[in-house]
Amino acid sequence: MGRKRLITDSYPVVKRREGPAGHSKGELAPELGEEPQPPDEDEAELQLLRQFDLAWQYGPCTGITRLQRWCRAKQLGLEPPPEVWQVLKTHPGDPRFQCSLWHLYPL
Amino acid sequence: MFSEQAAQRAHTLLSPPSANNATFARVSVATYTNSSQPFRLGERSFNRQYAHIYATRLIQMRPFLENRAQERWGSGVEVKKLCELQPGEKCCVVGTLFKAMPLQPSILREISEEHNLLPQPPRSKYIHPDDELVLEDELQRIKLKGTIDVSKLVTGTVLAVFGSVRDDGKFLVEDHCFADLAPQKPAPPLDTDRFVLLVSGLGLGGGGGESLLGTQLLVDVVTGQLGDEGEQCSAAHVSRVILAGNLLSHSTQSRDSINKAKYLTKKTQAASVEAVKMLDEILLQLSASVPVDVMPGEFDPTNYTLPQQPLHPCMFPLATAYSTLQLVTNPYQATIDGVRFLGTSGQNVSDIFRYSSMEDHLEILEWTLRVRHISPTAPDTLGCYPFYKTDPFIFAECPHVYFCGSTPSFGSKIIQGPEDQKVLLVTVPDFSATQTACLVNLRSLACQPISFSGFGAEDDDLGGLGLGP
Repeated sequence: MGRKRLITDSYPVVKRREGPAGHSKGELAPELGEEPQPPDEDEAELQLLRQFDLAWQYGPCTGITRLQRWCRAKQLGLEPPPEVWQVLKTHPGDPRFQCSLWHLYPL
Repeated sequence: MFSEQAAQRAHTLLSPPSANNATFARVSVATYTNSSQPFRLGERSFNRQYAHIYATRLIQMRPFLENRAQERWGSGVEVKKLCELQPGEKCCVVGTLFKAMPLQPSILREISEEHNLLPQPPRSKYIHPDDELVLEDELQRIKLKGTIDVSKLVTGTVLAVFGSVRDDGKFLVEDHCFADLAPQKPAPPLDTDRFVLLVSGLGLGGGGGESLLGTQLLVDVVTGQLGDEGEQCSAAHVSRVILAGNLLSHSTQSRDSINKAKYLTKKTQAASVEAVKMLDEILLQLSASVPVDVMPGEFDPTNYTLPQQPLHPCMFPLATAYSTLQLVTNPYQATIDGVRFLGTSGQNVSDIFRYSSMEDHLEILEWTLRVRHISPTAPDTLGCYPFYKTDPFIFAECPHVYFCGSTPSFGSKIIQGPEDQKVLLVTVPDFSATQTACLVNLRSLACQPISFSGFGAEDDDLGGLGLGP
């Protein structure tokens, strides 16, 4: 006889169209595979830099770059942590690393 | 000193012309180094707040103050931060002072419409018996009371206080101390008398004919065109001239033309243009004969905030042909023949005068040296560039001669420091008002005023008729 009547037969059938760039569900998997490694390292380094910004011993952090603040602390003899300098040297030009926590806010 | 030397030579004026003319060679400057590099600004960025300059000031001055505190109150005294204070316990705290003054002009109060206040007229002093002192360190602030002279101190001074915190949350001060004089390198002894002439407040463009005569007499004395052979010989011992600010008069700063309509001000020129031309001619005469250092002052065409940058050489087309003309910054530091000079054009001292009960400019000058800071009121009531790396106004080394210009009267004093430092303090008076300049003898570190007035006696007669100035 015919197929058993399923409840889903009463719903309209909608075909899923392909996205404009030929993107389909299958492509997401490799991308997700790349992300987990860099954000963790980056995140740990950014966290270290944020803690350096919030440390009161080295003076105010707004209005100057982290490298400038680190050099100032070194010149005044406050012994800033050398790991912060290493992180700043490995990411030159990246505003997330170089600028202070509040650089997006005006003066 | 100057005139005794002059009187020793035979009088040659009003004698028949001689075959050989006496010539006097000016003493050459043996060594000169300009150490005003910390006051030169390269790229200027105003995107910073002033918290940086206060933070670096406290960090740099803290070690000096801790040493002085230990010398004064014993080496066992505890230096604590405000967050570590326990009530009733005697300790020492190092911090920056803030003086809350109700009469201090506040732009916020002026423009606030709810108060409907008229702008406050300028006063000579803004102190009031209700002023309060607050000590701030890196994290907290605390009100001070006790044996501390509230009216004398100003905002921005870094000091160490000894006392204990009371139950009401205020700090009861028993004693306080400042960083005192910085270490000084001794000056090498000189064998001949050499003089440096300090002049301030030439006030050109002010419209007063008297001061122009005085200025011309000054130039003539220094270039050796005035006086007998004795005076010319003494003038040859002047090795340098320092013009300490306010070369243009206050009246060149009037900005009435901004408020007038364009058609009324079409052909008018700023008063400072004519005044700068006069200044160029005077500098031409001076620099043809003697090395000159020109410092800008409050009314001169350069930036307003401290440290003021040198005047631009394009304003002096005639005088810049000579290499003896040097345009320098406002706090000016140099070593002339081994003697360290440090001076300002007077804005720092007059600003402290407005906010402190100290009356004598020489006393204020000594006080800035004892506090080890050229202008403690700098970002608060006196315009200052937002430094972030260091505070260049802290004395790194004690000078031998410390001067400030544009004071109401001449004064000079020699003070001793705790480590045998010896400093000559000179307050250079305003030349347009007093017609007085100062001669500093580098060999003996003594200072002598020299006046150029021409019509002094007649002033009294004219005053009675109402025709005097």
